[in-house]
Amino acid sequence: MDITDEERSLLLQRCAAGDASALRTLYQQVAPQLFSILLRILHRTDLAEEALQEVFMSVWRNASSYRPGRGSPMAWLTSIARYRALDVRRSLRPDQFSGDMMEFAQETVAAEDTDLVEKTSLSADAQRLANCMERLTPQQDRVIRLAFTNGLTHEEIAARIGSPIGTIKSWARRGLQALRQCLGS
Amino acid sequence: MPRLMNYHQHAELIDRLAAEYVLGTLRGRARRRFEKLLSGSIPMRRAVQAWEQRLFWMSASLKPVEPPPRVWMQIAARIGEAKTALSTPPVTTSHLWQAIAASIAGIALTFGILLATRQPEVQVRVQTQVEVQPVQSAHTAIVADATAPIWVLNAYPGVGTVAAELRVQAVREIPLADNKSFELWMLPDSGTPPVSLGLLPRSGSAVLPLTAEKLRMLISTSKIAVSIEPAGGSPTGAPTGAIPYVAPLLHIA
Repeated sequence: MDITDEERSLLLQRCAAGDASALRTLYQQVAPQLFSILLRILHRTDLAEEALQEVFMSVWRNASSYRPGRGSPMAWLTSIARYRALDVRRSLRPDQFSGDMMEFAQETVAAEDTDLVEKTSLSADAQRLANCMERLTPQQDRVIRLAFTNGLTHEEIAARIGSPIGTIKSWARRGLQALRQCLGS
Repeated sequence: MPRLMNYHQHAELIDRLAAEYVLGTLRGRARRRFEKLLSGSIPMRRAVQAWEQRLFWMSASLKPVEPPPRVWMQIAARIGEAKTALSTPPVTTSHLWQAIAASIAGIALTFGILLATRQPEVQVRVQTQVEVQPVQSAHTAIVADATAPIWVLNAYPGVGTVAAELRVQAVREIPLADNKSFELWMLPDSGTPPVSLGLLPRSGSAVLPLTAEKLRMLISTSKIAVSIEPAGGSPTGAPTGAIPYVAPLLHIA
């Protein structure tokens, strides 16, 4: 991404003032990243496109609730996209999802590492998280990634990995605790 | 006696729930409940924001995927709607002249294209109309979304035996289902119900006839609207579907 956090933050402030050209610029800059997040969770292009549209409508309506002092605009935008995707997934009947899901499961297991950008090209903050993730056990790392990036539930992760759900929950919890210690508050 | 949680345990619980909420593993009713509590609790919101800040970098390593252009087109159409619903931008003199200039430029451009591509008899008709009724005498409206004009409208009062009419030029095509039409309405300043002016073309141009009564109303109307109707227009004579666009009608002469 080519623009800085300050620029994104400024664009959000202009959106809050009703400047549609700011939303367009923001869209051009961040939509590909958000679309990638949505595709990973929703698996279906049509659902991801619809969700992306809703995400930007939400950004447009709620831009005034973004406070620059409260953190990175990208964290705010990513959260809107992820929560939207989780809501969409929740609202789908299993039969609308599971067929693709099985296919996709095979693909993403293979792609868990391959469609990621090189760690060295990440920003300093992203590298910091990546370094802390490396200190987790491989199981903790996998559970957290499958939940965060692929939007899987404890149950789905248990089925994918073939471990009992209680074990998955405890890997997730311990992994999160370890991340918190590593990253600080 | 119920065992009360001490502050430390409480804070830890909040942090754990916040982490699971952000991670996405807090699901179903628990997620809904947490969201309800979230709106009323500053500590919970802070905990959630802190976790969002910690974890969102995980998605920074996903390779961006370019969405198809239709996604932005739909957003643009919708924010055009939101904007006009909230407030119609004031028309200052400079905006007015920009609008007129854009309108004239648009017409010149379109007619240029028409002359270059249409059948000879159409060329003659278009040229005749332009000569008989100069653009300066028009009542003009430009229907636009947040990004660019969609339709340019010009009303001509009619001269001698030539009836009054509204000429519409579609500048670009807005996606719409085949069983729907865009219908144009006057919103009379008197506050009386909208009056239909006819269907808008999806592309190219159209001439909508104006009765003497409609022309009289149009001259004292300062706003027009576009609604989405079943193909062929509103079955009731009043707008029945969404109104995605509202635009000021400028009276130039």
